[in-house]
Amino acid sequence: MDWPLRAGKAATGVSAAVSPPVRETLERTSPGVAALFEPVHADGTHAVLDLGPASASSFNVYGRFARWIRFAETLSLPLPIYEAADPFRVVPDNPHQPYDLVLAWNMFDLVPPEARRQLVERLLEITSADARLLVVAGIGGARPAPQNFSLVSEDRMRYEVAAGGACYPPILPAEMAQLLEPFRIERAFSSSAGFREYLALRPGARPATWSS
Amino acid sequence: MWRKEEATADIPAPDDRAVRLDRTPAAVNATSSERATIGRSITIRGDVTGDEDLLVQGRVEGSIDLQQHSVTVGADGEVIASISARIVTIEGRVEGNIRAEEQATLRSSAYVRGDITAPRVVLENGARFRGGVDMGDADERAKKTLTASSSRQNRTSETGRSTPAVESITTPALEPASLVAKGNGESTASLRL
Repeated sequence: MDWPLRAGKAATGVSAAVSPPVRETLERTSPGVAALFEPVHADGTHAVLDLGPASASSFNVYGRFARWIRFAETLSLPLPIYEAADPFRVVPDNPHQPYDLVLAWNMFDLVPPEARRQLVERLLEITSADARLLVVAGIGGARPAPQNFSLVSEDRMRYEVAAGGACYPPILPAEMAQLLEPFRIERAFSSSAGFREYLALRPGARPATWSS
Repeated sequence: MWRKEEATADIPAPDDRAVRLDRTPAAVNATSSERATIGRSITIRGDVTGDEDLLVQGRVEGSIDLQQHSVTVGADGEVIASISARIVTIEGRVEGNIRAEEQATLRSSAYVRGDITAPRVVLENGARFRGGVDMGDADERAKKTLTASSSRQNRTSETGRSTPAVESITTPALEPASLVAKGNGESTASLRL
């Protein structure tokens, strides 16, 4: 898979891979995922954007909520794309209805710092006024590595180290809050697995499809 | 010399015989196996239309439009085209949009880049997919599921043989994974996706 940071790219500040990643698949409860879906009705009307690769189990979960599901697999964009003026134009919008559920996974760990804000700007263009955004980020002290994430259920996720590549240094919570604006971080969870999960909401009136 | 009742009983009415012949398994197999095949060495550039099922093992560039039939892109097939059919099954490679009236299935060997519109979509483990899925309005989806279900029942009663079961599922079942609890709600799966 073509990860944004690959061998041969001498990016400053990038943590180098110490040893070949073990392709171990882990599964754990995810309070961030649970919080993302908590108020969402399983009425088949939502539009979901997953920036990771497609997986059958994620599709199974999204199918309970959404009419429109898009796997953008942005995590595998070739590195030169970040040198473009608007690199995230490749993330398509949904012409029928703006996305109201977005799973960005650890995209921000993989994108060069100077391009991160452009991703947020693109998300603002293609999401609804009350969109819910899930972001996963490495915790300081732990060496983050590119991961492939997928959902197992509405409160469990599965992940494995992706082949090759490395992440940029972890983003601190305050930096993340600033980066995501005007998305507002509603809840954050730290896990023993070395991740911090953020649920961010785009301020806006809650439509009737959200429960209380 | 002739007993009228026996003679009548041995010679069925033509219409009745026709119906019974159609109900034999052999006849059904012959009918259901009627499908065109685009072989491995064949490349077609242009629009493919027709009135029978299609198996693509070769390469198609353009469009495939078989509204009332099924299209299968075999493991060796490559389609750089939009596909429109009643049932679409992908085992090979497709770059283009897929529209299925009843169901679209991406087998584990599938690579699909494009958008899928279908009331029922099955994505098998291992399938590579990049694009969007439009599963249609929930009410229409339920209606189509009922219609498909009743049409299958009709086909069963007409032929005396049930058609392959297509479950009224919108998504595939979760894959089994042998899990080893590690505590704190964390577990290790020994299977890769």
